[in-house]
Amino acid sequence: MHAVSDEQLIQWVANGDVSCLGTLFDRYQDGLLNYCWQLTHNQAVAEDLVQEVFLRLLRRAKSYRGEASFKTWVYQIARNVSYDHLRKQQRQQTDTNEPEIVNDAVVDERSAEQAAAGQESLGHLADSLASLTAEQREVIWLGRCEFSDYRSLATALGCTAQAARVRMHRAMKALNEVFNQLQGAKLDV
Amino acid sequence: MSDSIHDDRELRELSSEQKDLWEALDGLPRREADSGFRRRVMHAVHEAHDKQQSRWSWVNFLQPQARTAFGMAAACLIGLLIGRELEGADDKKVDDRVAELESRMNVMGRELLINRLDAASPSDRLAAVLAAAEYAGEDSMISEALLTRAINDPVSSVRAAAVTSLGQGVNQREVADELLGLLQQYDSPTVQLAIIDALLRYGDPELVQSLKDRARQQELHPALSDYVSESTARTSI
Repeated sequence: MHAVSDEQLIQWVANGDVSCLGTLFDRYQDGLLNYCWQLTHNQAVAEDLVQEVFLRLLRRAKSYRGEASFKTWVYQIARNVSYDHLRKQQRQQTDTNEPEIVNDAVVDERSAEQAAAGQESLGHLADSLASLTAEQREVIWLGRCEFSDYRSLATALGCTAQAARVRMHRAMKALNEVFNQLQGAKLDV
Repeated sequence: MSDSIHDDRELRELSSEQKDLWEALDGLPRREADSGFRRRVMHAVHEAHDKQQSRWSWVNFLQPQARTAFGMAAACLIGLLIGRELEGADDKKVDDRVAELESRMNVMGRELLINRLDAASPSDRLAAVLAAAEYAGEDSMISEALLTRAINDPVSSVRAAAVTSLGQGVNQREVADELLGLLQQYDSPTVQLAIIDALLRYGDPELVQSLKDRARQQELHPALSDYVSESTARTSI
């Protein structure tokens, strides 16, 4: 529990006190960075997206009505920013017909880290998660690490609580399947 | 049906084949930004804010003389309005407003302090380090900023002051461990003395023992080895 609530801070930002964004940054940068990374799998891009989130917060502070919690609002913004980027990236790839190479680099980096730590099973889990679609990764990550109830998760995802529940079940099922395949492949070797 | 994701039975049953799968997600490595990330984002935010201000402030369009006159008139008007409002407000409302202003001042003060710790001028950084001592034990962001000063500041007096400021508020083992680690990095006796003082004040027997070992193995400045032996003997740690 913070002495000054997020909602109060963003209200002060709306009134022109930009320094309060620094405190909000301290509270949310880790969560947002990891969320954006889950969607993009690129550290530099994720950092740029988090910066864009805070620039949008500055521009839109006055439009925050307090109907949803600040946290769900900021994740809605992060979601829009990230999907804008993914769409743009997809367009560029279609235009240039260049293959996607970013994920390969990420997998290499992760494999090296985890091999060193000897956490093979965790490595499989990370690989399984990485192989899911952005929508599936997003619902699992937000549900596991950021929101504890379907209602907040649904608000951040811009859908109903029931839809969030269905998406979560499907995503977990997909994760489970890929994870089992990877574990099975390990046993076969 | 429960609204809580973690109590979702279907989800737990689904993952029963790999029942720890859901929990294991917690163990996935987290991404961390480098120490300059905050500065970069806040710089971009302030730049955007300045741009926004210069674009939208219609007062900028007024002539300087007219702007002064306008400013004075606005100040008078605001003063009158505040006076009228306070006159009619009940005590609770005033208390709430004072509390709000206090919280706001705290947030602003903290931001200013963290920014000043990064100032270009060593004397500004030194002043900020001394001022930050008061909050070192209470505010993790300030402790972290002080630790960065203690590790990275190019000026040894600022490093020593940062360690001293940290030492006054050391109430976390991690901070004490970081300080102990710094002993190996620096051979400046001033910085080493500040670290030793901070660790002795923290008083953890394990850390004090580690200090004594280093003194014995002559890893410290000779005068400081004696200082450690005397201090620990005096306090019979």
